[in-house]
Amino acid sequence: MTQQNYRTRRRGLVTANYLSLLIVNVCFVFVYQQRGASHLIDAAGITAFIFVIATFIPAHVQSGLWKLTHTATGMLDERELQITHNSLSRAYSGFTVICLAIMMVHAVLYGLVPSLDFVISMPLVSSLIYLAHTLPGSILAWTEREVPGELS
Amino acid sequence: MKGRKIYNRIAVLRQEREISRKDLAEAVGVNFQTVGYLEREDYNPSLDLAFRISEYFGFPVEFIFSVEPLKPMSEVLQEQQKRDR
Repeated sequence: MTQQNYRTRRRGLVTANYLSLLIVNVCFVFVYQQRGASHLIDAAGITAFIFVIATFIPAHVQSGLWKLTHTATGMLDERELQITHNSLSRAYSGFTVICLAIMMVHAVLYGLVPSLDFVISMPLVSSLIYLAHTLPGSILAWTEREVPGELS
Repeated sequence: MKGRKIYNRIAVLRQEREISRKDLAEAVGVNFQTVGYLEREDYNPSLDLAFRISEYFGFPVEFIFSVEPLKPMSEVLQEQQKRDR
């Protein structure tokens, strides 16, 4: 596989992973609200959750992105330290914006539509924890030419 | 601030001595992908790494690294021979 193909595949898997995570959360909101809740939505939510796990392994674990952003700094060389530092700082600012945006949407919806029972649910919090851990690696999936799991 | 591009002769020296990227990486204490980045001049090494690489090849650091595009080694040797005469 060429370097370009590796990069396209890596980016595609990360996008699919986050899209399925989004579907899980949307399905949960529908089920929680009991608006049009059906076995179809249940099935879609469960399928999306399985897809999250299925894409997490090649996108983050096998590609080496997870290892790169979760290894002790003493085990990394100077270039790896530089790229992980950049990705962590970008991920930190991005994650903060996402969290604040969710809180703002929550506050606005709560004020505008009191009947809409929008809650910061368990799946949402779990997704945010997941996002906090995977976002630095996902940034590397976009910015880096090669990652440790892919041979040069 | 983005630094200047640093040119190097790592790829030529490595191929000349028939050393793999992995062996060079192990000798200088970096990941083998970092050697690839250095050879493509996509990454500027720290002073410490530059010295480790020059010590490994046994050449002065300014022979391996430069801020200007490097001449082929044959050309450098020819120039040196002319000077010696």
